[in-house]
Amino acid sequence: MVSTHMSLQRPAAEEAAHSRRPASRRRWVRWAPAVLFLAPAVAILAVFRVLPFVYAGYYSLTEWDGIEPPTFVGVDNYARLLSDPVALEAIKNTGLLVLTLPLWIFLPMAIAILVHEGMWLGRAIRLALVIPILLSPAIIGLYFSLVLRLDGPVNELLGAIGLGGLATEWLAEPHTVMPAFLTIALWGALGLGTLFYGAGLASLDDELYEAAAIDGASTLQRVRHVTIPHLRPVAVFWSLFVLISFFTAMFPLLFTLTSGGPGHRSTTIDLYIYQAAFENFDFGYSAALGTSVLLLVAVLAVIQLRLIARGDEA
Amino acid sequence: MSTAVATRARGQRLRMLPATVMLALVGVTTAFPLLYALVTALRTQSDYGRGSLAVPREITFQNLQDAWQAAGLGRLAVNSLIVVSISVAVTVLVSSMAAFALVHLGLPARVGRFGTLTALFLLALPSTVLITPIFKVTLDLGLLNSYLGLVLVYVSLSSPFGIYMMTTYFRAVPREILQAAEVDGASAPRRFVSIAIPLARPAMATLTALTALTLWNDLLFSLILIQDPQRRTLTVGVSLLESSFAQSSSAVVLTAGLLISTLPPLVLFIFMNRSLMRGLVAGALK
Amino acid sequence: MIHSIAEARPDRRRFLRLLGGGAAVMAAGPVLAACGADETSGGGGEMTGELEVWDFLRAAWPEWKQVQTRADERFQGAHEGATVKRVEQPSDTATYNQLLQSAITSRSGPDVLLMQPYTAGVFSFQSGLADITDAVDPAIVEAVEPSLASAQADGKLYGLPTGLQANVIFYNKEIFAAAGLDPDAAITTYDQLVGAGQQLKSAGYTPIAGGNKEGEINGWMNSFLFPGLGTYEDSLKLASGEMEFTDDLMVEVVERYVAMVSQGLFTEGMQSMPLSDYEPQFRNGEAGMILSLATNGINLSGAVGNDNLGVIQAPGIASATPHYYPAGTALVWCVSRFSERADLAAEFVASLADADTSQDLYTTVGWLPANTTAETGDTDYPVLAEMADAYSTYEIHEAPGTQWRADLANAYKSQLQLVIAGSASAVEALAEVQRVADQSR
Repeated sequence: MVSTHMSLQRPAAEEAAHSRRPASRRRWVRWAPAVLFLAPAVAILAVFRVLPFVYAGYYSLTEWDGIEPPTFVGVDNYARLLSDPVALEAIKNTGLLVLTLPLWIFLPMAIAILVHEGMWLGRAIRLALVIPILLSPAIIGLYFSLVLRLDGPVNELLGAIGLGGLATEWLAEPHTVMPAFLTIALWGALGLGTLFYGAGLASLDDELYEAAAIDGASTLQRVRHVTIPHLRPVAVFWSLFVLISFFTAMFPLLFTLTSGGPGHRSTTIDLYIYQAAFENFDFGYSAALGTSVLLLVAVLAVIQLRLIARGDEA
Repeated sequence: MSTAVATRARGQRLRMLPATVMLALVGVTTAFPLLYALVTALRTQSDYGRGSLAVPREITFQNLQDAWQAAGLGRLAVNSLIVVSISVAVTVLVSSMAAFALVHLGLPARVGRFGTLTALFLLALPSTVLITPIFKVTLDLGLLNSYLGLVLVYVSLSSPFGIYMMTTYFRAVPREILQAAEVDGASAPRRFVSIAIPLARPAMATLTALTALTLWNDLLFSLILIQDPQRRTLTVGVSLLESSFAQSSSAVVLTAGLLISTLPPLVLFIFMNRSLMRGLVAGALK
Repeated sequence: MIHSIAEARPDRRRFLRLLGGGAAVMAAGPVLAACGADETSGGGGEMTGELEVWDFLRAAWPEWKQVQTRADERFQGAHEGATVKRVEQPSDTATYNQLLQSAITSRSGPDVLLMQPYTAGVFSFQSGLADITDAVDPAIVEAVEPSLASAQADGKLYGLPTGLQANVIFYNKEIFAAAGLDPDAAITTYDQLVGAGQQLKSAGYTPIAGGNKEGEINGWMNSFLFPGLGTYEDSLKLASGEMEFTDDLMVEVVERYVAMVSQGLFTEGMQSMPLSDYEPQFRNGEAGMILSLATNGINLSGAVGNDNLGVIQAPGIASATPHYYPAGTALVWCVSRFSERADLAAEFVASLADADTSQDLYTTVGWLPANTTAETGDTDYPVLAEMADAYSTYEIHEAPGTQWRADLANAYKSQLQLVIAGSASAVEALAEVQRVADQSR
């Protein structure tokens, strides 16, 4: 970056360089604006995101209580991870979330398309769906712990429609806690997804629609051949965002809903990282978990991008 | 809204009726927590004790007043407003610039893709593990207790998403428009300001709203980085209303505080709902 | 005296520091450069100036604030040129821990900190806390001697306790009478407790109010039921690793508790109810008893009437030989190792644990004093007097869970959730806790 700057400041020196290395000079001039435009983001991210991550990577190779200087222990923390049943259970639970990714991709897409197609109450519904993301997870968590408790409205409703036998402590039963959490998380994210798809649809050219109408295409055909292909980039964007959220953003809601219990049946990997650091005071291990998760996400993201690219070719 | 929508038949809406009913029901459930928070904030503690989900018998504004005064929320709200609005402005600007550079400033496609992936990678960093190192870096730079430090940390937290999102939207801007401007002699900043920004304004509005929401709700970083009580943010003030020792004595006041802190983003979204949606007007991104 | 993990840790840490400290500084560069710099700080410093005090109860608890403000004024009156600046902090433990963690790691932060006792706080942050043994009046240390284990390890004193804590069951005398129970007959055994619960249940009341979403009640019931089955010596063996968690003693403790749950003696749906949400059932007369903390006595007296509130202490304490009254410390005031006014801070901490402040806490907030020289005579709250009486009658020792390493205590709480849900047996759950105990740290 410094050299770029100098090259802009000193045309004479640049010209001299030009005579020797014309190709490289042209490239620099061509890239100078790009570098300058990237500089602020790169600088901030390098200092406040990459550097801390380098530290965290170092801590992951140490035993550290968070206070005394860390003790280097090599890959012990990583080795421990592989034999820690709680970590494996947490990865399994996060894996369960990943398996539901198609729901997260297609439900908001369907809602956005329905709204776009002029469904009655469309806008009101879209606004209502956004409300959960505006409220603090503390309110959402408290609300659902009330709604889902044994004498709460959900169980009463089940009783009223003759399914009283299904009534249970949804957030405390080992086999219902993950499905219940998953439903609440998805429910909470519908609005955001619809918002993104909606923004994508707003740019859909009505002329394309009219052309399709003139061709005598049915609504379904039009949606299939015009609308959905148009939403592809948004879907790619959204799906990667959701994937990353599974690994990093579940714990605020989970914390207030279940605290990861019963046992560790609803502990996801990001909640476990948090608990390892701030409840068990085991920072080195927490950092090792975090670093491993990052690698896992990177691999998954690349796989996902490959799948998408293959889809593009097909 | 548009001709195509206008000409869509009533029959089509009727066919969508089952889905409409289902989604309306879902919409009721998503709106309900807000109603719940509102009702809880407006009832007395003893009334709340009768049943947290029961219909209240008496309404009071005392909780809102208590929460407001106990935590000095007025001043804290101003602090939040300052920090969040600056952070959001910087995030949107810096991310848009970076995304523009990655997509439209002649970098090889390979580099552009790498940049986007890096942003994704940075987005995936688990904050939990980074809290202590981030605190360290801020301290070493002498930025502890300063809004500048908090703003920079906020920008670093939200710009990976910003860059990732903006590259997606800039990719949809036709290269030809920008190339034509370049041929006409428009400089890179000029192309950014007079072509890219107007075209991406809707996406930037979405990014603004989302970033504002995320940062407004942040508790951890503002609590840790700003230790001077006078400079704290609203979420920190609200978190003080929670009392773990004198259990349940303050559930309604706490909810009142949470509700107060929810209002600004709520207003922002209702305000922006139209522009967010109308935002990407047909034709803007052909 | 206590062969606990808490005691073993500092030795190991010092050893590890010798081994790895230097290398760590080099490898981690600027992050740790600061750490090496003032290894010897703490102790000494000026005797005037401002003391920054982190207090996580002040914001949401007016009575606590009153007592502390009076204490601050007394201290400032006695120390010319010294001022106290209280900073309100969130009471949520995990949030507060993150704050402490950042401040201590970076060797910045306050002079005085309010901390959880034992491994839940003091011992997990002890390398960031100053040893105040030589900085406080020995008379104060002597006065709080029975509670010192909450803040003392390895011959070092990391803070002074503010009050006593125990898990007790409070009950509503009117409801007891309505269910045909004698409200004034003391419940002293497990069987009596279960019997009373069943009678309340058949009279249509929730026997014991509880909210166990966080698993906190699991830990509390361990403190409550252990003494009737095990001795203090047993609890020490458990903490030091001499006794395994799968020992018959612990299995029996768990089975007694689980039997109470499966007989429906706790709030129906307790497992998904947050701890913060269960008190209303007791306050509004749905529940006859409530599992709570001793420090909650005044609060609950106010709710159901001072003379209407009774207290049930851990069963079996009267018959246990030797006596084992499972108590602990409510909270501890500590001095940061990085304080520039450590001696002044230590004197301040001593003033917060002295007889005056302890007595004020007793009458205003209802905390039983850790300071044995404080008067506990006059009170409007019969339950307080009764608990104070028990404290002076029985031999007080730490409740068993207080000595467990943090990850062990958390594992115990979460594993018992599985037992209650019926997807693990007591032995399986305890074996898992033992696995965590065996795990190298």
